[in-house]
Amino acid sequence: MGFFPLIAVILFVVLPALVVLWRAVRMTRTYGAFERRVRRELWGYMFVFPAYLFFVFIILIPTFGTFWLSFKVPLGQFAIEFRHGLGNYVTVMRDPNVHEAFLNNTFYLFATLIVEVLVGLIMAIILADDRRGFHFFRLLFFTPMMLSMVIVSLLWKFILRSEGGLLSHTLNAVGLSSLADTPWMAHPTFTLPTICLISGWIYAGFYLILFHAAIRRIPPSLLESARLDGCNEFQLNRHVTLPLMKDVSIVCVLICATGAFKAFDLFYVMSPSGANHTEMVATYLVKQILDYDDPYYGSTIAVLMTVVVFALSLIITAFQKRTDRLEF
Amino acid sequence: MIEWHKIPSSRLYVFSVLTLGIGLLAIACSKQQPSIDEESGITLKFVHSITLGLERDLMDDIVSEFNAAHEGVTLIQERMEADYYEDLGVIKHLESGNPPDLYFEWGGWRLKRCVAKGWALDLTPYMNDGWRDRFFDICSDYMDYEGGTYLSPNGLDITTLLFYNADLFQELEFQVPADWPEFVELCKKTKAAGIIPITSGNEEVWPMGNWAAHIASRIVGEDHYADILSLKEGTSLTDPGFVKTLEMLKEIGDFGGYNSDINGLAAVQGQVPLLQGHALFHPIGIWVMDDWAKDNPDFNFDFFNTPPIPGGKGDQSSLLGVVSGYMVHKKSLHPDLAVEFLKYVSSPEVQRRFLAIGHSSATKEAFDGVELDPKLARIREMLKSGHAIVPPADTGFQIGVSEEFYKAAAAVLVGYSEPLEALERAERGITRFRREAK
Amino acid sequence: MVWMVISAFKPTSIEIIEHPWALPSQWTLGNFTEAWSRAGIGKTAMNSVIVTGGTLAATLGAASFAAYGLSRLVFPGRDRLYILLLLGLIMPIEAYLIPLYEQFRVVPYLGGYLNDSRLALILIYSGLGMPLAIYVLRAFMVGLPTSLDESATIDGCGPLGVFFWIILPLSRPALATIGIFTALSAWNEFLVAVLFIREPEIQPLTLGLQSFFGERNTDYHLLIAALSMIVLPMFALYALFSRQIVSGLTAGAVKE
Repeated sequence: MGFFPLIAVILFVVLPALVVLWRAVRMTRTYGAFERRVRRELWGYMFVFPAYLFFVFIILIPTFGTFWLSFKVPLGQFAIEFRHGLGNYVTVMRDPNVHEAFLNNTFYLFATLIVEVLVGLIMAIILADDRRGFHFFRLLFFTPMMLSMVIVSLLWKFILRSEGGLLSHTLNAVGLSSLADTPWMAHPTFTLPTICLISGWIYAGFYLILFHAAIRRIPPSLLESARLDGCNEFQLNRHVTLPLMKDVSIVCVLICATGAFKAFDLFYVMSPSGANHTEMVATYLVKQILDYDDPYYGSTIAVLMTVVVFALSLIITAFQKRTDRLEF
Repeated sequence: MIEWHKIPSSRLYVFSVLTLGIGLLAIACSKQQPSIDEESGITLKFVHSITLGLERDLMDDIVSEFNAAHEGVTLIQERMEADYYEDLGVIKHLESGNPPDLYFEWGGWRLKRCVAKGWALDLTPYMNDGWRDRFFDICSDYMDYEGGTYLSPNGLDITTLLFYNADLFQELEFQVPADWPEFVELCKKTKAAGIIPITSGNEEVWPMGNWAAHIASRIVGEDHYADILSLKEGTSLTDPGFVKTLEMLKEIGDFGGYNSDINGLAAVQGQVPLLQGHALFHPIGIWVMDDWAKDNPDFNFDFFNTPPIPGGKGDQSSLLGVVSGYMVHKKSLHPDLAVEFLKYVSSPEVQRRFLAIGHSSATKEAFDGVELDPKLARIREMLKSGHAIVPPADTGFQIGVSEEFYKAAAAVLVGYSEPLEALERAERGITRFRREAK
Repeated sequence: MVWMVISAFKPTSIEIIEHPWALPSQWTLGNFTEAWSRAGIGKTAMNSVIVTGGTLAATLGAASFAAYGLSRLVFPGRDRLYILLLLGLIMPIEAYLIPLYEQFRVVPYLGGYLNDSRLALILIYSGLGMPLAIYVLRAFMVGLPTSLDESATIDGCGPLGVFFWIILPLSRPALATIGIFTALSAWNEFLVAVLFIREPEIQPLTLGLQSFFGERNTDYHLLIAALSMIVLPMFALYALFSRQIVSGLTAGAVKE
């Protein structure tokens, strides 16, 4: 990397600062004194500055660094010498693991839209009232998010294992013994869908809270008048509540979709080696860094992943613009 | 109009949050306590991955004895979780500006990498005084690289033996199988008796992968096995011998020879059916013996080596084993002291203490003059017999290559892929390592 | 969670694996004390508290400043800047981890390097949490009526004064929401910590837990005992603030 951060600092910190100052000076000349408007503008920049610094140093510059690293191709099996070029990109396009990972991620994306966002929405509608006990339920559904992933994986493995697992016991008890032996966590056909369901168990509570907040902000008068017009509960939700939640839904879809492509820790603990073809882009990437000692190839995958996530969020925010409701 | 100065509680709130935040930031920035006393003369740093159990206590004892015996020298240990140590942990240490003097490594590809990257001190000058002769001859393949000696072996683990539940074995009136077809026959009979023939926890793919590697080396011969896994030109993972290996494993899977969630269990969870008497065989390394002796003293088990495979080109009594040990960093300021510590650790007296807690040893004399448990005695006979020791794919060779092979084996076990298909996929997965190797 | 706490009383690791759903054969408290000393929970928890607290302070501070600037003050390029900052919301951390590490590794700090320090963790966690914090806080501040700060300005209050005496106290619900999310993620973070921290003295809790994982074995009984102890403070915090979380999000999105 070497001189790279220096260029980045000049580009992202020094240059913008100079532009702002130059503008201020020019405006002062135009308006005479160091006028109120100039001061107000400068205050604006000052307020955003600390957060901007964090952003530049923690996210922006390293991202460019990743881009830089991805052009470095290690030579020889001990990676002592390097060549610069597009070699990693050629390799990545041919790597069957990368293909598989992107497919898995896409599957996971659609699955989580259903089991996280949709389920969260439905639960939020059911638990919308401030009835006694509902608060407790909302608290309950959020708890999985606080458990450490290690515990989550242990717990579910004990539930799902076919030798003495809780689920196979239950299935046997209700007479579905043909299902009881299903290797939920141990066969490529089942593992990915199972992990998606577990992911729903963990994160649905998060979307429940987001949607609940959105429902709470619907003016009660609106619901009241709809009721007076003779709406039943279903129609009320269909015609009043849901349309009003369109913007928050898009935010949730955005968080969920980009989150799906970043999915890492759940898969890392549930299926550490990808033995059941559950390799994700992020787990494969981290494997390059941690296991294979090849951050360069990892960076190439990271660049690819960033491009995909970026494109995805552009598509989703395009919907948002059409509705023209929410700032983002 | 809001009289903003009349909001005392908010002011209190803002101020308290601010002070607390700044205070914590200040603590975070404060100088970290140095973990050792800098004044106490020479310090040596030793990194390893012994984090659990009796081995940890023993290593603590050894280190403090060494420190007591050497005035003004302090050896400090830094432990890391094994999985992480194996991957990036040790590399992070070795390439840092302040590297450890002593570190744990495995023989084989990993040792070669350390040498190539300039992290290993050549121990040849220190080996002349008979230090080298302490170790079993079969270790030398793992200690040497390009004419230098870099490793002081400490462990000689046999990573795959077929353990079995001895009570069940007797009940079924089985004999130790003489060759592979007989073994498969036993598995079929076991299945017919309503018992799982083979149980394993293959979630991390190495338990069954190691076994597959062993079978493969028996079929194609040790040298060709090494050529294939070190990506020699003209070789391929789709080698007929490797295909045959996976076909043999698949044959057992086809009649339901494995526990149904084999690929979903951690290695230690895969033992449970064996311990509970629901399964007969369990391919795993000899380290389980000491776990079982501690946690399940009543469990009656025995073991045999992978049975000979008819028509195989390799040594049909070969063992699958890993030689691991300690290396000295090239940048160490006190190589003499580091070597002295290694000599102490590898001495028969100290190694006997490792034997006593159920570990194996690479030091020949350690086995002399101690009352050995009959099972340990058999292991020692195996080691002394002079049969080939085959490194498992994951420590002997590049990890990315072994991982693809192991994953192919895992996919075949549960009948998800055909052997050839799985290996072709694995071969495509390692293409990039091939290009780099040129 | 109940399962976790009950399992924490089981005497051996093998019992948890063999009979995960049975009650302990023997209720032992020893797991907790042993787990405590093995993982050095006293020390690592202190580190985690410092890191989490520092992250909270830095994130809430910088993010509320920025959110105020982005919602109340007018300056050219404001909306573009906002969208730029929100990019952080979609960037995957794994994607820039290595350059980040390299960048911290070259900065000398207190006789060592910056990567191996609690400050590094605080800076990184804050940077990662910043976009979400700005998003929520800005949405909340946009929803606050402007009449309040206008009257304060007439009263002779500069932007700083308005921020500290009007906006910040009113944003308490949103701050609580963001605080919870930030604290949760900083408390449970593992990947950055494992890559950056070498010195045992400054390891956070998640690294301390690693001492229960052996090469081929795991001390489940100790691990679970330790995890029970770790999750409780976070759970208490959440239960305490759970109503605030919803109100923080609710009031936040009210549009004029």
